[in-house]
Amino acid sequence: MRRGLVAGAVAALLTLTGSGDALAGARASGGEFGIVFGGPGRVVRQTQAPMAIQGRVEVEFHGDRASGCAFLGTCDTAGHIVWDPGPRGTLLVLDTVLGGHRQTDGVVFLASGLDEPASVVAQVRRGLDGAVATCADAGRSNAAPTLDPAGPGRLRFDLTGFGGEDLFATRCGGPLQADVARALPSPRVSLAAMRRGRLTVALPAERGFAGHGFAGTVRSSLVFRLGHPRRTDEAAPAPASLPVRRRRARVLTAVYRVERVTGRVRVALRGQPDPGRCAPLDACGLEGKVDLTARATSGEAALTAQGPATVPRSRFRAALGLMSGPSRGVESVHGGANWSGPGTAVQSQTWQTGGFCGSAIPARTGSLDISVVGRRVTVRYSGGYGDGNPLRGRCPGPLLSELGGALLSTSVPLRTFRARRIVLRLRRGNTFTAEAHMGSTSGDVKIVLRRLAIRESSYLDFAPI
Amino acid sequence: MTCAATPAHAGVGPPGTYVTDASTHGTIVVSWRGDPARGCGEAGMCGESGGFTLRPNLRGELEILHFGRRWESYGSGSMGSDETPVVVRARHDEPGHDPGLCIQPLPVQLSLEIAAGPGGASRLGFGSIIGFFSSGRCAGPTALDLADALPHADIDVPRLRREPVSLRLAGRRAFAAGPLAGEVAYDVALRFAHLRLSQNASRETGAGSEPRSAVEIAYRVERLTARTTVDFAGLPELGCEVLDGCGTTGIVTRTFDAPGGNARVDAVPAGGRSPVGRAAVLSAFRAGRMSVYGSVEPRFDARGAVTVEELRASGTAGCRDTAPGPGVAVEMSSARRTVTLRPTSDLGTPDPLRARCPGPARADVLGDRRGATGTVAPADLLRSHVTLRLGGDGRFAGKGYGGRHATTIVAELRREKLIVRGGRR
Repeated sequence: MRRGLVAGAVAALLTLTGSGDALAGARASGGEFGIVFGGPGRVVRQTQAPMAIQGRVEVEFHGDRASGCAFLGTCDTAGHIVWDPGPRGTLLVLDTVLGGHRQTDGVVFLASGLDEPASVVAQVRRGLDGAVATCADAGRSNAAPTLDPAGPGRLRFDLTGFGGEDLFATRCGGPLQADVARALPSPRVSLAAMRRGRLTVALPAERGFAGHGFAGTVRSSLVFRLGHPRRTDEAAPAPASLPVRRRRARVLTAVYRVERVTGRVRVALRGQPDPGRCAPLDACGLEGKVDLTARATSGEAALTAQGPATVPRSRFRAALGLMSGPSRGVESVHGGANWSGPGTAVQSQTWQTGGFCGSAIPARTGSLDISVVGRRVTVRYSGGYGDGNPLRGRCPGPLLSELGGALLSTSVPLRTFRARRIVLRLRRGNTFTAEAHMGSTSGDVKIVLRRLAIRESSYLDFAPI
Repeated sequence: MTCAATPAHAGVGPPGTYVTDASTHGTIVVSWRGDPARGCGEAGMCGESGGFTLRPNLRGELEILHFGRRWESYGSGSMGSDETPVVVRARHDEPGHDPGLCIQPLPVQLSLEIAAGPGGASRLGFGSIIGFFSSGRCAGPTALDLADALPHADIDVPRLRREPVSLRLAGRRAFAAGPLAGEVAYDVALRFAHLRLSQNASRETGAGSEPRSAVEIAYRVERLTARTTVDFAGLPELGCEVLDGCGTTGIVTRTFDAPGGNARVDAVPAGGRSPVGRAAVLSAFRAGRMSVYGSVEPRFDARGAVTVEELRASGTAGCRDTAPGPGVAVEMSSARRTVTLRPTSDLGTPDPLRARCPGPARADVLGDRRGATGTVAPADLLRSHVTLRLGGDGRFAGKGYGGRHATTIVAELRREKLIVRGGRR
């Protein structure tokens, strides 16, 4: 079961600090990542190993009548997408204990800040009665492949991973990661061999896929070469070369359940009028929309205040809106929410020169970013996370990050969070000018949160002098 | 509108670290195409065109260091970066052939920077925290071609101590890139809040006392020559399609010829008992019992640093280009009683293996490696004339391209100074 690691790491990525036990137990300051494990369970062992990576995954695709391209408008579309993980990464293996059961999961963090980070490149052609429009796009990939339990002493590579976006997401149209997931390689490896290190894992593949308007082939030439592993679960001393001071930090977290999410968001889109901007992404003459229905059946939220342990607890409570009074000395207050449910995102668009594209995808996840400045709280709804990005359908379109940071937002007084049950109405839309697209967002989403607990933890912090 | 420059030290606070809340918003579009007036016909590059777009949407605290007479920032502080990818798209049109399209994400991170400019002015501009702006592996300008092409303006930093400042940089700048002509079209709004002192300059602590026993040697570089050749081919199994590199072969030759410069060697006791007396120190140095560090830094002459690329593609005219490149330096460090030589890392410099034709990047050819290595006996470093030789070769398989590479570096040094510190008992 990978839920523990997934939940923990996603929580860490979204800065949702969860249980105090997990936070204290897994503050892995010795690792290269400084991950704060915020998920359920207690980390009992953490191992890290460098990885050299070669190869890439390529998806070659074309519109397919048997898969419904006539209905979806993709019959004259063909292209290829190349996902390149970059030359190196780091494998992190976590052993956690939850409810007396021990489980082992792994995740590969791909190098992100170097000369050659993980990337995805797409080139998609759309035929127009003899003329061809081409969408060419590329970007960094935030993917993080995982190793999931696969029987006693075995782990299975899952390239689709967690936390990051769809492996093949660009601003061009084409199949989604979910459409080709079965064709991706997923070899099993021995956990013992993985712990010994110096292991080569090849992920060759050449498999076909068909569905949702497209058919094609997935080819993989990936080879992961694992270096020497080392344990990193012992708290490492602060780097000797930097002058640091040790201090105890306090973290106070208000934990909420997402009781209900209902509402709709519309993203109205059109291509930029300047051919120099719209043509590279096949957005010239484009008009379209994305209709997102947000619904939740389960979810969690948290608002966290952090600062020196010498600051009185009452100020942390005031910083979280739980009581009135000053919050001086509290260094940061931030929060977020995640939910899952049966939402949908429907894309429909046409080009003035002819052609259309339609796509419907489940929007299974949603997330909020909650920021506190002074006595006001800004809440931003930015769609889902991971493969729940509602703008990432099978038609071309802008990135979520090009929409100005949020689909909808609202600002409420901090005192709103004094109540156990909080109702947030997000109705403030946004206009945006992206690289090749422009448009606006509008809608009305209602989110109900219920506070479950207030948790406190502390940890030893190393702060530079 | 831009701010007028005034002396940077006029009426401001003490040296230290200052911050201002800053934001930038707008678009910078870099584009290029083959220019017959610049000889694109002869280079086979008249069918090349391309570009990329930057969206400098940054917001946060810009950290500016005040050194007393000048203001500088190193990167954008906590301003973050726009998450929109920077994508190079280059198109090759040739009569009788389908157009070719090269696509590459550019591994750059846009930043706002303030640097000391001429006449005491502070120059505000855009740079990259990681990587360089260029056409990447696609046909187009090199990093050196674009080094001064992005918009910049003088800014009166002390004025930010008195009042917030808004700027708008809008216009077009032309640039030349060998047989290509290019343009940067930009419209960027910038806002700066009051500048406030974040931290006073800390007093520099005195350097540690010098080791008692040491050897210092200074040389004059009589000549340093370096040559790297890369034979490459676009390979389908490496993903050449997205770079429009399939079916191409080529040669990149990078040469560097420096007529002068300086070199230096420093040696200190390697641990354990420190030798005492000049003779003992020299003996320990000769025997490889001292830690040796050194560098060869030739004088850079742009005429001597050249990258030549010749690309062949079946059925087409191919492409030839010559572009200036960065220099070559050598570093020395002792290991097992000998001194190891290797080129100084060029990861922080523009790609030395790229001209303006499509082709592999340094990262494809060498990865993390330096490409050449050599050794010299410590005793030989005491001679009046020292020759350092480095070499290396190998195969590579990178993004889109694979092939072979070979590098030779020869440095001729003339010793100018030898200082032996004998220490005390």
